[in-house]
Parts: sequence; structure tokens; C-alpha cells
Amino acid sequence: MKHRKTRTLRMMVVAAVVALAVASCGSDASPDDTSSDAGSDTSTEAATDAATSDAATSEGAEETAAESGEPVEIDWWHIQNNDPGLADWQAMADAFMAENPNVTINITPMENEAFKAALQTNLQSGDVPDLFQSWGGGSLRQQVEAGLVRDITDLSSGWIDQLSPATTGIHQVDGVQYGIPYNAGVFGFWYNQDLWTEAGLDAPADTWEGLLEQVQTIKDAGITPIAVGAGDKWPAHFYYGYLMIRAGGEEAMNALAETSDFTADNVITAGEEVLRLVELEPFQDGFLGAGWDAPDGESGTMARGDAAMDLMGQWAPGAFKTQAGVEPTDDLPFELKWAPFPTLEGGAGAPGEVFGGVDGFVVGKDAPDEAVDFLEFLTNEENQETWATSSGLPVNPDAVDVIEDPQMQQVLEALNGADFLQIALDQYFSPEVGAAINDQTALLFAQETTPEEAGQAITQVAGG
Amino acid sequence: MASTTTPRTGRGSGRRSGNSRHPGRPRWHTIALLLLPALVLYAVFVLYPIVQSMRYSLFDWNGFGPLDTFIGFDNFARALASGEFRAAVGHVTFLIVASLVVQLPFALGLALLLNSKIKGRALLRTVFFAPYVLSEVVTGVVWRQILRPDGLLDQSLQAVGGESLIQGWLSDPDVVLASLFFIISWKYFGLHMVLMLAGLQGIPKDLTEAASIDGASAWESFRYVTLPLLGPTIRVSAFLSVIGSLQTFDIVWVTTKGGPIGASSTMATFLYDQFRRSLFGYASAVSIIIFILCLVVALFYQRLVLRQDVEGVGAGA
Repeated sequence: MKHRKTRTLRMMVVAAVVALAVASCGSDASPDDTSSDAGSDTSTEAATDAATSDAATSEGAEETAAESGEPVEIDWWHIQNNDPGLADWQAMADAFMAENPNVTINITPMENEAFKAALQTNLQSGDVPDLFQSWGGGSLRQQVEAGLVRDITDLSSGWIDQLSPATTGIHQVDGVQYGIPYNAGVFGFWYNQDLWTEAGLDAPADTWEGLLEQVQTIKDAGITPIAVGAGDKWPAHFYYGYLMIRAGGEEAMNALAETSDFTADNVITAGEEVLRLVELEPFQDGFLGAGWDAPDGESGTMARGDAAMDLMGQWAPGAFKTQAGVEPTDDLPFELKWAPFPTLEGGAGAPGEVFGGVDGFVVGKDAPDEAVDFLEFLTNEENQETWATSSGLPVNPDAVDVIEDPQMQQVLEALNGADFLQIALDQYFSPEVGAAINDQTALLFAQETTPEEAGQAITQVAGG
Repeated sequence: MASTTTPRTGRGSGRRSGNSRHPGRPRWHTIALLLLPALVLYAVFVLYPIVQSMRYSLFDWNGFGPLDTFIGFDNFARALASGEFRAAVGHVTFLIVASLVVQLPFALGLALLLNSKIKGRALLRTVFFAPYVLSEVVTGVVWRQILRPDGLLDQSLQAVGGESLIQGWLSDPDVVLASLFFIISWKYFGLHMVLMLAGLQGIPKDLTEAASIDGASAWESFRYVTLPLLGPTIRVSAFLSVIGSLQTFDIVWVTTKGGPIGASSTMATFLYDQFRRSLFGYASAVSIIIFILCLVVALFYQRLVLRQDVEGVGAGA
């Protein structure tokens, strides 16, 4: 009797386990799983969003709303989820709300990756935030084609000229303005002067050949020459991309955008030069699995003084300080300097043709006019000065004089002196093509592919 | 999860009322009424998404544009031809085989040890089971810190003169999958050990006693008495391992994101990557393929292996 009971019990357990397992297998395979995960983070946002779009259904009502001061809400998604940016932007929103009592700004700060996942879900459901982070490029084009973002050409025409024209172009698609930049910079080498001096060197050479020699010298001195987060892929793509620009110049990059043919000469040359660099084994241990911003990543390695340089944007010093546990206003325990990317012998690219990134906010399809007013406020001289002092580089030329850090001044100079700005390739092309470029870069860094095969693989995805 | 299990309860209650029913129609109205909430939930949260993803899988779609580029089964063809997807399937197969060949015997051995009367048995059981209590993300974060270059493991190896053994545990494409298998096993062997222990304790002592009286050696008694009686438990344990391996995502995503260069990708990380690339049509096709693979494996296993254990119970799942 007792025996039988245990058997029934066991059978029940087995049945329950099987049911659970099959059920979880099924639910895991359901494609909406990932999006519903991300969606749950934003369900409250979605609710407020819906409220906003209800409040701003008709364009005509908005016009009068602006005049009569009827209450409007602006949902603002940004990725400054750490101080000082987080607090600065809250303060700017508060100031704007104080000036415009009818406006309520709901801020949703998110970590970069979480933001991308959440935005994807909201775009899909049509609940577009009124203002959200954008790097322009292929993603913006997709959003424009789906009618998810608002044409602000007229609304911004009165004041957009106060911003640097090279940067406002990033959030245009076919000549129509959809967003406003707030931050811009070019990529370059951030180097640890102490380690360079230790290796008997002064500063990065201005030619690629010279730089490769220096890398060898630093390595011979027992120092890791370069930190790179090849596990995140995009930090590695800075080398691949910058070498493409150096090899072919503006003309070749424009051709690349037009034809999507990544078997072009400048891409192949870039691949070959990447391999020459990789063959020197200049990177920190475990670089293939390392991310950009982590204790065991590129920023952590640089912050500990374990590598002599890395190729990164203007946000690098801030990240190093965070990793080193240093206050944003204090200095790192070593001297950090900046140098532009070297030129490539025989390449058509000139020093004035630079690789960089521009951050901005695009305006959602249902956003009230006040959202654009807020962008004007956000990029005025005073607020851009706040931004430039604590977080990044301004796109408002009036705000540049607050930048006292000589390294940042150099980055700014490179940006303002640029004849051609190519934004990061993984942002410039569609997400799919961008990912293919990153994937192939990682393979190059692992020496698992050839420059020709890498070019062909990207071309296949890009449809060139 | 909740919604998938509700219909089972629903069916159970249907059967019960079937046993005690009076002949006549009104019963069915009641049944239908009681089933309705569960069925609606099931339809909305399980059936509808599955049908939708089947629809999406036939389009070239970036997630928010108009759904108008019908491409038939191209997405499926692309997935099946994709080297990266095949690699992911290969990695999952490795995890399944390694789990069955290494993890389960290890858990069984431990269970046998801890089933005998040794000192500190309760403590050891708790210690071995403890990793299972941790969430996958916590496990992944902790192990990433231990296995990182110059992390705890490397430093420990250095301290005992084992420098030559140091590897790029999570950064060497040739090593990373083995590292991940180790982490997964570390987390899950405790569960299988407890399952086996439960199974062992369900085996009446008199049987092994009888065997030893008949002159069976310890090995013979294990091989011919314990093992066959433990069969149902082992089969369930193996099934859990297989299903778990098929779904592996969290630990991999936290430790390596499927990298470096895709060397530790699983079907689930590959799928997630496609969503991140805004390839919703393609990703839907991939998810359907994974769904079918899971279903086929689960059904086959049930029909062929679990059948003898769960005669009649799991037949309709």
C-alpha cells in the first residue's frame, strides 16, 4: 500500500516536471518573449505615453495649446543614467518647466542597451516617446520610413543655425530635420603619458606605419600597448572604420554608403591594416571577450594603467574616472592625453576627414510643439555650457569657451576643423548592416577571417 | 508560464467532473464557463503570439514599418543556411551531450555517496544544492568575475605555480564553451543530485539486502537493483537537462553574450541577437525553428523514453 502511494506520488512529480519543462520550452521559443521582457520595464512609460498622445491628438489643438498654455506632457527618454548628466538634465527639465508652467516633462533615463530594447518595443506598438536618444543614420531612416518621428524642419528653422551645421545634418533624412544634436566628438587615441614615457616614447605618431612601430616598442618595454573591448565589437570597429576612411577618404566613404559594396579597395586595405595591427599582439589579455565599460573591459584596463592607449570617443576620460573611482572633477592617477588617428601612407584620406559620433534627440510623431521648444532650450548656450563642463562636448559653438581641459579642446578642434565627419559605421548603416560590420571586425581581431571574406560577408548583408 | 499551466488544471477538473457527472447537458455549460477564463488567457498570451510570430516569419520586417514585404519561407531558408545559427545549434548539442555524459553521472555518484551514512551528510547536501538556489544572472556575474583575465582563478593558479594552465577562460574561442558548460553544471548538478537522492530513497532497502544475501557485490547490486529502479528518475533528470540545454540563455548572455566571435552562442542568444538587429521577420522564423526543435525533442523523448514512466499521464502534453 505504502509502496503504491510513493509510486503514484512519483508519477505525479514526473508529470508535473514534464509539463513544466514542455511549457517552458514552448514559452522560451515564443518570439515575443524578449520583447515582452523589455516591454514590462516600460509598461508604465507606455501608459503615460498613451496619455500624452491622447492629450495631443490634433495638430490644431496643439497650436492653441501653445498659445493658451494648456497643459502638455513631454516624455523624454535619455541615456544619461549616471551623474553628472542625470542630475544636469533633470535640472534643465525643471528649469524649462518653471518657465513654462503648462509643460510637464516626464524623464525616463535608461542604460544604453536597456534603452535600445525598450525603444524597439515602444516603436513597434506606436507609443513613441516624444523625445528620445538617437544617433541618426540607418536607424533614424527606418523610423522615418515607418512614420514614427516628426518633421521639425519648420519648428527648428528659427534657431537651428546656432548649432554647428556639421552636427545638425546627422538627424536629417533627405533634407528633413527630425532631431537636434546635443553632443559630438571624434574618435582618437587616449593615451597614458606615464606609460609612453616609460617606454621611451613621447606621443602617438601621425602615420600608421609610425604608430605600428611605436606599438612594437611599447610591447618590447613590457607594457600592453592597447586596450580594446573586442567583446563588445564596436570599440574594435573604430580601427576598422577609421582605416577605411584613411584608405579611401570622403569619396570612398560616400561611395560605400551609396553602393553598399564592402569589397571596395579601401575596405580591403582597412582589413589588411587591422590584421597587421592584430599580428603584433598589442592587446590586453582576454581582449576578445572584453567589453568597453567594465572592470575587466577596455575602460577598466585603461583606468588601472594596464594599457598604454585606446581608441575611443570623448566620453572615455569620464568612463576611466568612474572605473578608477575618481570624482569627475578630479584627475586620474596618470596623465591622460589625446592624439588624433594617424594617416595611412598611400591612402586617400586626409587628416581633416574624421570618424566620430553625434548624439541627439529625435522628436516622436505625437510630440507637442513644446518638445521642440525644449530642444532649443536644451541646446542654448547656457545649457550646452553645463553639458560641456561636466559630460561631453557641445554642438553649440557659443559654449566652447567653457572647455578648459586641453585634451578636450584638442578633440573639439579636430571636430570643428573637420572637412568630413563620418559617424560610427554601426550607427550610420542600418542596425543589420552595422551588426555585420561589428561581427566581421571581431572576426578580424580574432584572425578568423581574411579582409576579402570580411568585406564579402558585410556586402552580402548590405545587399551591395 | 502561469497561463500555459492553467489549461492543464482545467483539463484535470474536466476529468474529475467527468467521473462524478450526472448525465445531462447543463454540466457542459458549467464546464465551458469555468474553462473560459483560462482558455482566454491561454489564447491571448500563448496562442496569439505564436500565430503572430508565424505570420511575421513570412515577412521581411524591421519591427515597426508596414508589414508588406512578403517573402514566403526565405527567412527559414536563410536561418537554416546560416553558419552562425548552425554553430549555435552545434554549441547546444555539445551542451546536451556533455550534460548527459558528464553532469548526470557526476550527480548520480554524489547522490549515491550522500545516500550512504557518512558524516556531515545533511551539510554536504545543502552545500551541493546551494548553487541551484542562485539565479542564473547572479551565477553568471560571479563566474565572470572569477574567470576573467587575472581574476580569482588565474591568481589562484599562479599562487600554486600553475601559470601554464591559465587560459582565456571566457575570451578564447576554443575554451569558452567548456567554461560555460562548467558554470552550467556547477549551477545545476545540485538539482539533479537531489532528484537522484529522492529516487534512491524511494528504493526499498529490502531489495538491496536481498541482493547482498544472494551474494551480489556492491557493483552488481548497483547495476542490477539500484540502477533499474532509479530509471524513472534518471530519465526525468536527463529530460530536464536536455530541455535546459536547449533553452540556455541567461548564463551565456551575462558571461559572454555568446562571444567571443560567436563561439559560445546558443540558439536563444542567436535569436535575441536577431531581435537586437531589428530583424523581426527573420528572428520570428528563427524562433519558430527553435520552437519546432524543442517540440520535436520533447515529444520524442516523451514518446520513446518517458512513456514507460508516465503511461497515460503526459500523453497529451
